[in-house]
Amino acid sequence: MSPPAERTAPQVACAGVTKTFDGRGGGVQALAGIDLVLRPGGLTALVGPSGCGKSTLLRIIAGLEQPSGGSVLVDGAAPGALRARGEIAVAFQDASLLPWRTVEANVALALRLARRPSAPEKVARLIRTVGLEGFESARPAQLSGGMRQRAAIARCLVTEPRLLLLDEPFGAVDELTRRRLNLELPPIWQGSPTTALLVTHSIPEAVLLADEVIVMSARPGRIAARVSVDIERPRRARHLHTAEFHALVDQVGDLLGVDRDTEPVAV
Amino acid sequence: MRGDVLAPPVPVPGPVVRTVLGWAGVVVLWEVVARTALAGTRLIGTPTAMVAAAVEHAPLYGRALGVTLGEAAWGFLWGNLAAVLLAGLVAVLPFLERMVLRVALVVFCLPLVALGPILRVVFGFSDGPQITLAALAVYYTTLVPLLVGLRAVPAVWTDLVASYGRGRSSRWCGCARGPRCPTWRPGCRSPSRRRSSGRWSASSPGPSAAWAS
Ligand SMILES: Nc1ncnc2c1ncn2[C@@H]1O[C@H](COP(=O)(O)OP(=O)(O)OP(=O)(O)O)[C@@H](O)[C@H]1O
Ligand SMILES: [Mg+2]
Repeated sequence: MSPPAERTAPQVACAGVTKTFDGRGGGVQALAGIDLVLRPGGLTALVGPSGCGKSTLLRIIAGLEQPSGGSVLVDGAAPGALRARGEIAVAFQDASLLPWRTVEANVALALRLARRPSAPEKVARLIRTVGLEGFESARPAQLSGGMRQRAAIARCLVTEPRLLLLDEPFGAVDELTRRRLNLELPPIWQGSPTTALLVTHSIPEAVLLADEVIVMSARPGRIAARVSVDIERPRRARHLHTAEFHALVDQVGDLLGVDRDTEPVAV
Repeated sequence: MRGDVLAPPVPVPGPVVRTVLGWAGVVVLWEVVARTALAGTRLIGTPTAMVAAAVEHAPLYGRALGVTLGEAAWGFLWGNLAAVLLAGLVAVLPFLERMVLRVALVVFCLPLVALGPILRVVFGFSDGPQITLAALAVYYTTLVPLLVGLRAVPAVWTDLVASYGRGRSSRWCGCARGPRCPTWRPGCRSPSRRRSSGRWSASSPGPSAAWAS
């Protein structure tokens, strides 16, 4: 549709983003002054304690939620513009498959919603890639939680989005499959100009996939640290055993741990 | 030994036969009671007399039944159409839900006996009042399950549709379809059930003519 923009990965910049949810007891402040630039064409991982506002930030970047203050610019415009062209894909934290559609139809739904021509071969290929071969005509109720997440990832990738927002996409997947997906999925979009944001609770996953790991502090969410990951690409299983990888995992772990000590989560 | 215990000594008739026998028994009982204990009281007619009357006045009853069913069908159509449109309105403008439901409830609860004459004045001499009353009898029972079905759509589905840049109306078409339909179907009920009670036969010439004769 707009040719020049399509060939470059989108620039995503959050400036002073705050978010307060109105509530009976005065509201919940979820985010406090987030300044963040996602690496264009790269993957930024977001880690932080539960409830620190990771999903909220992701939703704000997707344009599904309005920030209470500050601004989010995607290619210099509000996220709505990219969204309206169907160039964002979000893997939601909660399973979001439509239960009356088969796996195949759920994946194909993204194409329809994004107003793209149907592409049965691409759908089938992605279903194979996420390891759901043979379950094309299964309904979500017949799948395990991890299988559902994998179907949701296939749905995210089928439209070849320019902005990929993944909210704990592998949370319910077993360790082995998770590692396999960690290694197999990124090459699918890393060949194309796609900017990706990954929310995860797994530090090794964050380090393995990301170009930069953003560590958030407990509520209200702030950016506590940024860790650059300069491990060469494509990343392979052997990278998991390098000293560099372990040092980075420890570094992020320390940053998360230190933060938990200084700012305990009120119960 | 076991076989002896399990095999019934007398064959029990199948469920269809039992149902037919049961109903036949009721009709026979009715006939007997009407002819003996209640004879001369003019309280209830006998089944045979009713069948005889129905056969004798078959053209009249047939015509009345046709008119009633036709009006009921139109009312069913209009009532459900109104419910679907109202639910669609609420789906696009959710803040209207409270108001729509309240007005719908008030209209639904208005006594039909009171509405009949008003509708007769409004519509003049036409099928309008009967069709409106039939529509009023069905629209609420369609509207409420439709709204319940819409509300049952998880937020994450609407987020999904929105994340591809689609608006509220495609949310309604795309993801509301699943939860909406199962709750909708039982909501569509027959207006003729209401009609046959004869509660507002005064304002409806079709069935009242049949009733009176
Ligand atoms: N719609 C909402 N209304 C009110 N409060 C909300 C809403 N969504 C999130 N919150 C609050 O905002 C805070 C951050 O929530 P969020 O879902 O972003 O956390 P998270 O970092 O994704 O946590 P997790 O790792 O457990 O998924 C939480 O305290 C939550 O209670
Ligand atoms: Mg979350």
